[in-house]
Amino acid sequence: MKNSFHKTILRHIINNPRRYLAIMFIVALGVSFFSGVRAASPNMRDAADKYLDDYNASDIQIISTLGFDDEDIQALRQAKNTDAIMPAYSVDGFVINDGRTLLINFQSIDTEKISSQPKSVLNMPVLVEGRFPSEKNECVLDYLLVDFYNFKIGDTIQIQTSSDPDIVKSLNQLEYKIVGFVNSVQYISFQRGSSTKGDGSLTGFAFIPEGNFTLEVYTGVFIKAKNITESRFSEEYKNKINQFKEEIKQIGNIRNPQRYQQIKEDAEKELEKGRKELKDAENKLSSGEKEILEGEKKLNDGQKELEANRKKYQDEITKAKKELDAAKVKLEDSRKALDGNQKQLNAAKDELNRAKSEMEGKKAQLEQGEQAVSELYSQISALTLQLEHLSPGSSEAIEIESQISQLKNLYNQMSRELEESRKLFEQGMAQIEENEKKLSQNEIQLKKGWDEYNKGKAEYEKNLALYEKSKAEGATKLEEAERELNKSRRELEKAKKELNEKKPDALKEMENARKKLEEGERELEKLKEPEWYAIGLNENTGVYSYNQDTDRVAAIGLVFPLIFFLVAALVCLTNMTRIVEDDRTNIGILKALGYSGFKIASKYLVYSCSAAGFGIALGVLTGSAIFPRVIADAYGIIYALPPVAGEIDVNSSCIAGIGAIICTVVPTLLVCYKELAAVPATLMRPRAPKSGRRIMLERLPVIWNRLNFSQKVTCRNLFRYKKRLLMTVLGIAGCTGLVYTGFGLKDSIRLMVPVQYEQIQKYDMTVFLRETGEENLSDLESVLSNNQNVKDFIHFHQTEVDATTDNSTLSAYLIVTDNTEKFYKFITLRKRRTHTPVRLSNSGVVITEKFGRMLGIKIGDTITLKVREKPEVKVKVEGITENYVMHYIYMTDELYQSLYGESPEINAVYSQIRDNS
Amino acid sequence: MAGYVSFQNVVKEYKMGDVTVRAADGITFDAEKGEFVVVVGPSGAGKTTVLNMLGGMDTCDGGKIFVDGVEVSAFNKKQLTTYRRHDIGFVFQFYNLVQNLTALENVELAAQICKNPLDARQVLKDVGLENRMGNFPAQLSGGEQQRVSIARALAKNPKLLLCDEPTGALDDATGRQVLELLHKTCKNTGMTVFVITHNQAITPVADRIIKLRNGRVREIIRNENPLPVERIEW
Repeated sequence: MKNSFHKTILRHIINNPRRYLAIMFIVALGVSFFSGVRAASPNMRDAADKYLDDYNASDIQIISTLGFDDEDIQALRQAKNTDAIMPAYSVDGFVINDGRTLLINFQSIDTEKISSQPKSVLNMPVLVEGRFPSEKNECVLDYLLVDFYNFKIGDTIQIQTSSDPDIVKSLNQLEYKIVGFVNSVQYISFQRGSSTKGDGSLTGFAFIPEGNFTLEVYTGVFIKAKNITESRFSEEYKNKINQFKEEIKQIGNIRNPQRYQQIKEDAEKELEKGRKELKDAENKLSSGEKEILEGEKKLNDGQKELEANRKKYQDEITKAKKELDAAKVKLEDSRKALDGNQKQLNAAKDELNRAKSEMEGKKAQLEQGEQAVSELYSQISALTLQLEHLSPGSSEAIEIESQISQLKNLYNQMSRELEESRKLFEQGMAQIEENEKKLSQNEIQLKKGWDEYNKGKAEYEKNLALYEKSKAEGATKLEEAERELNKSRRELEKAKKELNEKKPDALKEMENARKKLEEGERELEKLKEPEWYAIGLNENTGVYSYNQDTDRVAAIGLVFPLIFFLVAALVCLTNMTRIVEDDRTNIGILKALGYSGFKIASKYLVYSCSAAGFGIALGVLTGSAIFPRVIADAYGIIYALPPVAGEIDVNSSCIAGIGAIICTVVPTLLVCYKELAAVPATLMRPRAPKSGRRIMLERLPVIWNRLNFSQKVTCRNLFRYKKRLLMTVLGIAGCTGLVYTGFGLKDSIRLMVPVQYEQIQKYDMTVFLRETGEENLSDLESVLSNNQNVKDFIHFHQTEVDATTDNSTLSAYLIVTDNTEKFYKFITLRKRRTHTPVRLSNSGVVITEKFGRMLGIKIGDTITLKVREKPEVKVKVEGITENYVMHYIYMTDELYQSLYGESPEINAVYSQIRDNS
Repeated sequence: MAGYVSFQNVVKEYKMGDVTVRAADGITFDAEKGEFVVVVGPSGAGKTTVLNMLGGMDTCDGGKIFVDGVEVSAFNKKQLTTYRRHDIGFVFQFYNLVQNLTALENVELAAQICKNPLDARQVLKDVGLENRMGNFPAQLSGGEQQRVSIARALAKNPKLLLCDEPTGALDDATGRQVLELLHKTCKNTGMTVFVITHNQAITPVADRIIKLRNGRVREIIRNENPLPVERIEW
């Protein structure tokens, strides 16, 4: 139903848009600021959470005093809360760029997994430029370094070994080519963490393929926890992580003793090996020396032997010569004898030969004779034969017979002759034979004799030759022997020289080795069970500081928007009031026409609600679009996080909305109520203006009479409209207050630095001893006192302490000094407001102001101190000193002694540098 | 016997700081249904006060007011609202139209909450504003505005039509027209009409004349033979 009442409402708005829009915009402003600034913190957290989710940030990082071996990893993998686990290697190295030295943390990545299953890689690096490494000698570098240093893709970084030679024990590759730049979820802030190398702070990080690490154990483990749905910035997450840390601690409690045993055994083995090696070396040295001594002795012996041999040689040579000469003489004699015999023999032989040849002649004769005989015989035989064939008595036969008989006679004769000759011959032959025999015997003998002589001669010759040979040989041998001996002597000398030259070094080396072994043994002694330190992601520096910063943003979101909101509320209030009051006549008309009060009020409610409604909608939309982004971008300068989504924070939007409605509707209702209380007649009459009143000032004629009319009117007006006056004053006061607060904040924060670091902490340098001890301290102090740039220094003890009062605990640094008068030169203890000095005595401690305030401590109160590994002690607070950075508790050495029974270990030195700048 | 409308010793006081003013000081009168009543008196006599109290626009501080047998002066706020809604049609001296509604809408505004309203257009036609229905009060002349105001009151079809100086700002001719309209309505519909005026010349039209002075009723005159409006001399 198009009804006029609605029309009048609508036209009321449309015809006079300025007021309506004013309300709408002021509501929008207040709501946008409120919901926007309040949305900033959740949006920032959500963005961070999403980022950490997207890149699989690990929930727990564990480091160990002794690294992790595979069994440790296995045990952790099987933990109830472990969803995924990633062991990693990491080492810090120095890199030079443009003449500046950077300390980079090199961490291992699994390049295979990154390219094949990026979604399952924990703490997946976020590639900003370039690509991930594919070769062993490639790396991706911290994107932060691009802004501050001169790195480009394609550059090579070189890890320095000059100041850090041990790094080669961790990496087998020292040169890496930059192929990309990355951000890491482990480093969402600019903080890069601390290191034990260099000045202790890391400049950046780099990821390199796992294969480059030669470490035996993993340096760290990253674990993603199961069943985490909460925001990483919430208490629930913290609790879950703490539970997980407990579980890890339990696992550690089982693994660490095992590991300790293992390490100890391995170390012992190594030490044993070392010891043995040292022993071997010692043995070698002493055996070497012994050998030299022996060699010397041998040489001497050899020399002696040589002499002896030479003498022997001489003797033998002489003896042999003598023998030989004797033999020669003997031979000569023999020869002579033999010669004689030979002559004799030869004569005999000649004789014999003569006889033989005679005999030969005789033999020939004989043979002739024989022959003839034989011929005769054969003739005879032949004739006989013939005879046989002839008839006896024939002429032939008779002839033959005669022949035969002749022949036979001849034959017989010849035979007899022959026989005689033969006998003679035989006799002769026998004689000859005998002679021959004799001769041959003699010959034999002679031969024998000659043989013997020859033999003897040969032998002599042989012996002579042998003698010669031996002599020569002997001589050569002796020469050789002498040469050898000399050579050996020279060698020995050389060896001796070498020994003497090298011995001191060798001894030194052995001494070093011995020292190293001792050190190793001492270190093994000192070796404690490994300790695991589990760090939750909520404790990660970047996440923690982001949490704090978003808390601060939320804190800002608590108060500042309220102020804006109040302003908005005030504006709404006055505007609505004015609107309703100005519409008094119309209210009267409507009332006169019989519209119920409620209906009439609804007109203004619609007005205010719709204005507020639009304002809220506008405010929420713009607020959540602008503020979170603006604030996050401002923080983005120091954080590497993706941009924040402009999400509406329902909670604060609702609160803002309700607040806005209340601020617009309630005044509307109130003023409506007031107006509608009147009867229509009254309403339709113009409102009677407020009656004028005299003001207090008028009672002071001294002033009042001096004022002119305008001034008097002004004065009157000021006090006449008290509400307006109040609002103006409050408004201006509020604004001034805000502006003043802003400036005040800026100045306070800015001035804090010089006050803290010039007036309170007057030292320029602090040196912490990694290993305490008299020697180390005096070394350090002598270095400092010898350094011309150091003006003065003082040593002290610093440790972290937990201080407890009845219901709260807070951590602080405990500083113990043994020289209070000198200490004041380095740290000013004074009251903040008055700057009166606060003295440190032996009866109590001096605490810093904020610390005291946070624990609610006043001078004279007692607090309980708990230092790690020391019993709890109670101390009285006798002074509170001005301080702006961190919390400190100052104590004298004497007090410390009385509390703990011993002096504290001096572990630090403050020093002041001469002002040369 | 109380009439259709009955005022019995009605008192109205205004306190402003220490000052008390009695706008109505014991007003007593009666009026019959369907009468055309004119209330006259000099300025400050209490005429508007009486009308306001009669119309439920204001409360009284003493005495009783009866309308159609009902004690209006005893009404609570809610009852007064209902009373004003359905039973009263008020024509204001200074029109009191809603500036951001047209003539027609102004009339509709009043009509749409009534039990038995007349058709707004028709009423506007009846008052002669057929061509001005779509104009805003700022675009209408004084007489036209007053007629809208009357149309508004008429459209409500009330028991009582109360007019506070309806012709006060009008010229002779327009005034007559308006008066004619009111009279006609009174006679044609049987509506009881009260007209306040300080112009004595109007009084012959009335059936009853109530003269007020200083917050009291001076005289009540019953007019047996009222004159028609044309015959009035302003």
